[in-house]
Amino acid sequence: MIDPAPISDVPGIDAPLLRVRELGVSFAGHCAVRDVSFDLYAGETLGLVGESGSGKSTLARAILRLVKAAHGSVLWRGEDLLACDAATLRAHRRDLQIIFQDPLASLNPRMSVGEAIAEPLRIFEPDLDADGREARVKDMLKRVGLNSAMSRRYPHEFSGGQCQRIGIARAMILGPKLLICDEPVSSLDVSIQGQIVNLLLDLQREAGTAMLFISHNLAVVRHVSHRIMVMCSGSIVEVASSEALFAEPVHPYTRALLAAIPMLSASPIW
Amino acid sequence: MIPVFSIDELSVSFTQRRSTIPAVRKVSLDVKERECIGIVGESGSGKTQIFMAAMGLLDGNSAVDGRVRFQGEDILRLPPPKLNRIRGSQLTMIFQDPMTSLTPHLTIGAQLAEVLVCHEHKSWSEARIAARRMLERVRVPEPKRRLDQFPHELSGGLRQRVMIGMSLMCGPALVIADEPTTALDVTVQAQIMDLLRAMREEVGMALVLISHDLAVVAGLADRILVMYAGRIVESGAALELLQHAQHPYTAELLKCVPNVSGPRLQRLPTLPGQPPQPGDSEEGCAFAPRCPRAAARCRAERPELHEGQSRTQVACHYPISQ
Repeated sequence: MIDPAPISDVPGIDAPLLRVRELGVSFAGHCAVRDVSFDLYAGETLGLVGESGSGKSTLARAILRLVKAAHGSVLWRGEDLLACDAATLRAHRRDLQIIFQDPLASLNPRMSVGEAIAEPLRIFEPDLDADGREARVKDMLKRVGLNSAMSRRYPHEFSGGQCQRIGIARAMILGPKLLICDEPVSSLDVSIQGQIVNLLLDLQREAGTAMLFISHNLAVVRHVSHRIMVMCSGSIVEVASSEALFAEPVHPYTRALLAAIPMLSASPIW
Repeated sequence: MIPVFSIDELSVSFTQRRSTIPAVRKVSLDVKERECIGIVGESGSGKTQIFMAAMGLLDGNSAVDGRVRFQGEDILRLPPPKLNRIRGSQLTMIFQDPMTSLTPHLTIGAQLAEVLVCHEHKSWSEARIAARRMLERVRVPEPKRRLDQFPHELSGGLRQRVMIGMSLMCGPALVIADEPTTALDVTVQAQIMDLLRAMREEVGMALVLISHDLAVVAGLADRILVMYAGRIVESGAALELLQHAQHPYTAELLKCVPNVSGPRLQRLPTLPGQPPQPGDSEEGCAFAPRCPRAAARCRAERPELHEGQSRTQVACHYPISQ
């Protein structure tokens, strides 16, 4: 187990928002996440990298109780999400949001985009009337760079990048305090990737959201993260500030990951 | 040198609900012996459709126009039995997803050996020996055991090695690799690129490497062709193109690749807007709406591909000059 590294450039931190301690997940006796511990602060972006099968997504889902943890604790503002009852958990859900890799698959094809974005409001702010909801949805669409007239259209009418914007709008409309991004730009083109990442960063800075940013793209993670955790076979093998991790990777697995990044400057061999 | 493969004014379009959607518009390119060309472009730019059309792999709702010559023959007009003698032996293709491109109910050995049985009329026992040798060449550990395994028993990286091996069974003149590492992890991707590089040396085939990732292509290609909205917008020697992009799209695309050295950025560089959709205006340059250098002429008149600086070809009225 590794102690969380100190943070250099996160403004105004007191206590961590999220404290994960010795979290473990097993599937049919196979250990997918092994005693993972880390802290996440308000306004911080924590990168999580590792190869497929290393347990990144399982860890993210276990934090939100979307898969069952075998042991450990997830302290959200002091309360253990893994131990609390269903009603308490549901009350916390509005602060805990997640964005998935495949933007089209994570939207209900039979719900118009406006309905999809309004759904969290319907559930968590039932007193809000239809006009109020519509105003909030239109405002949110504008903030993610979409035309508010698009709210009547359906997901299949949008490109991958636009669908991811819709997913972000749906996740951000309640003003969550924690946003987990599970490979949010992996299925998007290079030219669209930057737009989506910048949108996430802008919304995060506005609201002071804590972000767990999962990606296998180390170059993207390097720019967005304050700190980066490296995961290998279910364990966190290294945690460091983004600068330190790229300057002086310590763990052999981290070094292997960094060495494998294809680079534009690499001189071709022939 | 005579090109081993040449495409002349190839156009591909698809018919959908009575409307015609152009995917490739009058693309011409040559691949010389032993050369590796990289085709780079975003999804929907038509990079895959060129080669699907050339190999005769498109569905019935497509229309293909133009000429594709492989070793002197016009392969778009070959009768299927003749085409089948070339495909899979002299002209082969590797796809993105090695799970769906291998047959799930046949062993690795059978699938590799089949290539020689069909194309070179070898006996199954001879072909099986050759298959094992090929697994060794593409660095598959325990080749003898792998022969009797099924695709689902292999990891993604190993399956892609098997696919590469299969594409090389008959000593092809040209291998087309369509996003060969996109479905793989970064460390496995590096291994597969190393393997392709080694196979180029050992087998000496020409290679077309299709990818959305400039960095992947940069490590292997002699020449790079950049596609946008169904057309080639820039083509030139790989290093020249990467260091001195002349088309604004290439330059912007290069800027969008996040770097792994230098200072950490507060925001990632972006290319505003999105690629043209079917039904968008066809006038002028397709990139003009997103281009920082666009002028009135760009919106009115489409730039043709012409000789730019340093023997690079560029389709732009106002290319970036050094």
